[in-house]
Amino acid sequence: MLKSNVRKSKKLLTKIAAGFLLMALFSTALTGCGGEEKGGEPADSANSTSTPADTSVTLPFKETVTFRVWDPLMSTALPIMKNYAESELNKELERRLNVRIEYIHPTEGSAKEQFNLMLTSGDIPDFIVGTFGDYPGGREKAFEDGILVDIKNEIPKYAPDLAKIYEAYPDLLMDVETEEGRQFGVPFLKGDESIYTFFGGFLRKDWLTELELPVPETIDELYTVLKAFKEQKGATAPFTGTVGNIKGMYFTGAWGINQDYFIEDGKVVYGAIDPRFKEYTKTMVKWYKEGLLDPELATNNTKTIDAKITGNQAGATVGNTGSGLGKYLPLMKNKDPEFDLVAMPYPVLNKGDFNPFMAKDGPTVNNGAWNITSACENLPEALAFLNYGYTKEGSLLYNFGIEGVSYTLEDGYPKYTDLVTNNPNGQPIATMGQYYTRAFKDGPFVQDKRYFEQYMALPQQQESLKTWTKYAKQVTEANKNYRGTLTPDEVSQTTTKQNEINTYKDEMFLKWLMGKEDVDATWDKYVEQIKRLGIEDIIQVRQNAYDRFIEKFPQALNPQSFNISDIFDK
Amino acid sequence: MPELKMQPQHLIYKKPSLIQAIKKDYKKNKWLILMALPVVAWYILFHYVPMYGVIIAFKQFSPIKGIWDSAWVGLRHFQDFFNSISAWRVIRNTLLINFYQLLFAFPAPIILALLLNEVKSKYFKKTIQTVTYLPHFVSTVVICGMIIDFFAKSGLINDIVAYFGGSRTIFLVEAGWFRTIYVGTGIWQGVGWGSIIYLASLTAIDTELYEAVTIDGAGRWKQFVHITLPGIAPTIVILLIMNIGHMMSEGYEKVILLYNPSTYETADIISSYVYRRGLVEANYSFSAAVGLFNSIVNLTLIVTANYVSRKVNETSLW
Repeated sequence: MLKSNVRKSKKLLTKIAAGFLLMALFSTALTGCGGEEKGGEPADSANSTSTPADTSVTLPFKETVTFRVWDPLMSTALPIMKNYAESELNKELERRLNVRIEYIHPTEGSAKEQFNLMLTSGDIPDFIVGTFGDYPGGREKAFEDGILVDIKNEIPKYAPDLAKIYEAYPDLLMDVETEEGRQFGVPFLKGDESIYTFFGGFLRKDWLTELELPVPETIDELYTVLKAFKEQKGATAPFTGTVGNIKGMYFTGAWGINQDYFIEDGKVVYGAIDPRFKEYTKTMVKWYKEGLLDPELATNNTKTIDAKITGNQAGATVGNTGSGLGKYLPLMKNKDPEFDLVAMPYPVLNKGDFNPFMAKDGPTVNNGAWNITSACENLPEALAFLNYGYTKEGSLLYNFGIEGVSYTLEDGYPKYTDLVTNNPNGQPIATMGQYYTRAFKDGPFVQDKRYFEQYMALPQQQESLKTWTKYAKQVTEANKNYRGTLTPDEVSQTTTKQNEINTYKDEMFLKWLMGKEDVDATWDKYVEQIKRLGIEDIIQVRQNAYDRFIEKFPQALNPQSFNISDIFDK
Repeated sequence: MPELKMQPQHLIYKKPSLIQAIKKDYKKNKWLILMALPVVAWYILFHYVPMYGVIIAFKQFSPIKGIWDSAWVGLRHFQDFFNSISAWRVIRNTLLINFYQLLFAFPAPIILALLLNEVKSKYFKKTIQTVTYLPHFVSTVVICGMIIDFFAKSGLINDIVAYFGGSRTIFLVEAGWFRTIYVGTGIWQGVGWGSIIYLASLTAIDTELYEAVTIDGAGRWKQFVHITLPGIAPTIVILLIMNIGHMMSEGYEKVILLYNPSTYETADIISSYVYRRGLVEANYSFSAAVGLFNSIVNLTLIVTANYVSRKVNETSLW
């Protein structure tokens, strides 16, 4: 009895030990795989150049090719699908190209953590959509770590239509290529300058009319308007939003700065310690004290902001054409027929000035880029699949969906059907648009401005885009946005310092805003502290990165505007 | 001489007795041992095996290279933490929040249990228990959503304040209010659940003792002081020691749901700081280093508390 027990427990022990060994083996096998594939990559491409058969990847594929993709799903899509694979667009893609695409969606709000956990787990899909901004060290580090692969040399071979776009608009390379000359994925492109901007401030038009005030263009005019909203319309939070909203460049731009890094005369400037930031802060403090800014800026969320705007507590805020104007106007149409909104241009200090910063997303949209990982076993097929979006046929599919179902061609103009714009089940256009197309999200294609024209159906929306791009030309000329990529080493040198600075900066700003500290009295101490935390080192590192960028892409000094959509008309 | 002979005999005798004892024990408690096995396995697999991962505190962990192949960096992450301007603030905040919890939240369930013990009506007692247990079963996220609503400018608390003529405050942006709100809502959340263990130990007190003192002429208060309190004292002491062992750790969930830059001053604690640095920025080594530091302090505290308790009132964990 005892002996058998001992034997049993011995057996159990060996089993446990074997289990551990297995686990250990498994984990090394996983990590081993990544390394191997990285090593195998150049050999593969060498092969493909020597054998002509490899270069002829044709669509649709002869055998079904499966791809897995990490791709955040927008919450607006949730009413109609839990996974993007259910979308009509995806089914059509699978039919046309003989592919199978499996989507992995992170939970909204914790995408950052899940992204890092996914990479830690070692189970990496073929494509990862996004900037890799959350990966410590960015894409270059991900490449060094063997997660991403350099596809620059493969693009002309397997993605000829994308290559054609790069050839026609070489300025695009500034956005898709690293300073080392590597490319890790294919971009989401915006086809027309008119759809680069969709963000800005807006306010109650009916109140302005009633108070006989013009749409404010300067900070002083805005002050007058907010004051009137408070005193005459009884608004308890004349301007609502989050702290991020009032610290955003929409306001700071009036003083010619942003609160982060920007370029002035070829030098990197850190906005938050610039004397102009002090002037800006003092203005905001004054507004807050006089009750012109929402006292709950620090705790606001979308829900509370919506409630204040629809409840006549607030008269102005900042937001998007689609999710801002496009939300409130239809919402209030029946409740209050008087309710109307109007966009206000990016504010300036004096009439005749221009605001050198503008929320601008294009021609490349980095968080829509499809990056190819080392886990992708069929690189030629992957690129051929991605290339489809940059063909004329693919562009129509991605932007408008299936002809006869989600759009019809009227004199060559692809018009969304009622399924999308006026869905019988009452789903909004932003939801149905994602079900039939990818234009309402992002993807490996060129976004068509005709999508936007139909999406932004309200005249106030169309007007807002014009208002917000008032200074677009001057913004491009001023060219103040920071450019440049830090090397992985530089990232690890600066991240900790930057985080400490950010925490301190955010905290001080709120203390000033809420009147707990006096700006004049503490400003020098504040600058001193940020310097002590190492801002000068970071600026130097960023300056070097900027210089490297300019050296590699001198054209960045003279940015040109162009409309990629033109390539399909040629 | 005979003594010398005795000893080897004694040794020879003792050896089989050990095996026999195990054998006997196994025979007697076969099913108990079997039942304990999964728990032991769980502890080994999920608490002891992962301990080797703590070495990433001394490495620059890269998920791709794995734990073993990541480069050693020595004490860099510890230096990083202690050199950071936030270090002392988050340590102070963690200790203070825990101190206030010990001061206010720890006695709360004891008081509730004692009060319930004095209640004669069974239905009243059960109702109170159910009502106080309820918040424990609601997810922290929901609880925090409710707290944010309650403490908003147009929320319940401000409505009450305004009704009595006070002026409305936005509590959640006032650093001075954070700990009060945190500890106060913590009591609301945990008081009922926490009282269960005390109620259980109250029922274990021999009723004959009460009868005896009643005969001796002791009133309600004397009964309470001389029978009830000493009766549950060992439970209180054990839980107190365990609480002291957690002085440096406080979950981040509730903090990150309730804080904002204007309350960092009092709200930012070690775990929320580690969450920002470690999880969100994927600096796992840094979190491991801070976690290790935390555990060491906690271990020291619990050993000290246990030692003091053993010396002073002879109740201790070990």
